[in-house]
Amino acid sequence: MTNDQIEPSGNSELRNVSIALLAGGLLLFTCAYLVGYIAGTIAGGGPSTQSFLMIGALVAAIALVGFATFKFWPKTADIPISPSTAKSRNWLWAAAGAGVVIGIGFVALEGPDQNALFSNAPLTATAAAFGLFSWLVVVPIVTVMWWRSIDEHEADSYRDAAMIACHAFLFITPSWWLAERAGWLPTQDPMVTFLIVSAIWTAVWFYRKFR
Amino acid sequence: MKNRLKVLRAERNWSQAELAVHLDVSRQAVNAIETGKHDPSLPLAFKLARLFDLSIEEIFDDQ
Repeated sequence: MTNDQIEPSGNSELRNVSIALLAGGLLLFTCAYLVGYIAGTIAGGGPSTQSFLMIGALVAAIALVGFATFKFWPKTADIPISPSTAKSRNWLWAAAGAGVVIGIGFVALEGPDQNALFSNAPLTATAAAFGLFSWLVVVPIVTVMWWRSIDEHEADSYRDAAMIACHAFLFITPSWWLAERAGWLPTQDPMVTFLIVSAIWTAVWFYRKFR
Repeated sequence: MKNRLKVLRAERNWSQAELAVHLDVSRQAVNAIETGKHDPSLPLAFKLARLFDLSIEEIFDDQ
């Protein structure tokens, strides 16, 4: 008898990872909203009964989402992993850490009300330099190191996903450009296209890896 | 591609994760090879053959 019964099947693992990622993303969003809300409350002159209720509700939501993340996160602590897998996971954590640092950096440089990361509003030179350094130096280093640590199956999954994402870009960009000229869509926003393509790339990569 | 990986693994009572450690790949990679969703590269096929002390043709069947 093989021991693969103790491990999740491909489908259940894909489901668990998807749920965990959704819950993790929601957790991050809720935490960021809580931090912004507290900063706004302080800037607005101090807490009120309503703000206490709101903060309580947000903390409860964070606890709920945190519990869901913990419950559905694949239990892999007792499963041995290869050195290359451990290394690639460490680089993924480094990438996630870099993302958190970039987010905090933007809030610290521009202030909580500026929504510097998710808008097209003008930036200060300091914030722009910080963002460019992060994107052009830190992110490429982490990406290359991660790429060098992954196994061939993950590399194939990532490459296949990249090809599909590249085709998505090929179809979305001119279509939007044409629809915009006909007055059917607003002006093309490169960052929206970037987010759509990135989302497709990530979704296909995870599907191919965990299916 | 069809293969005997699951049987060979069973003979040694290895989990997919344990085989993955021997091959220095992820458990998902072993699962994908076993289920025919991923064809291993030639270096990985040789690694498998050496690990089980068999030829590549004795593990994989392209018919």
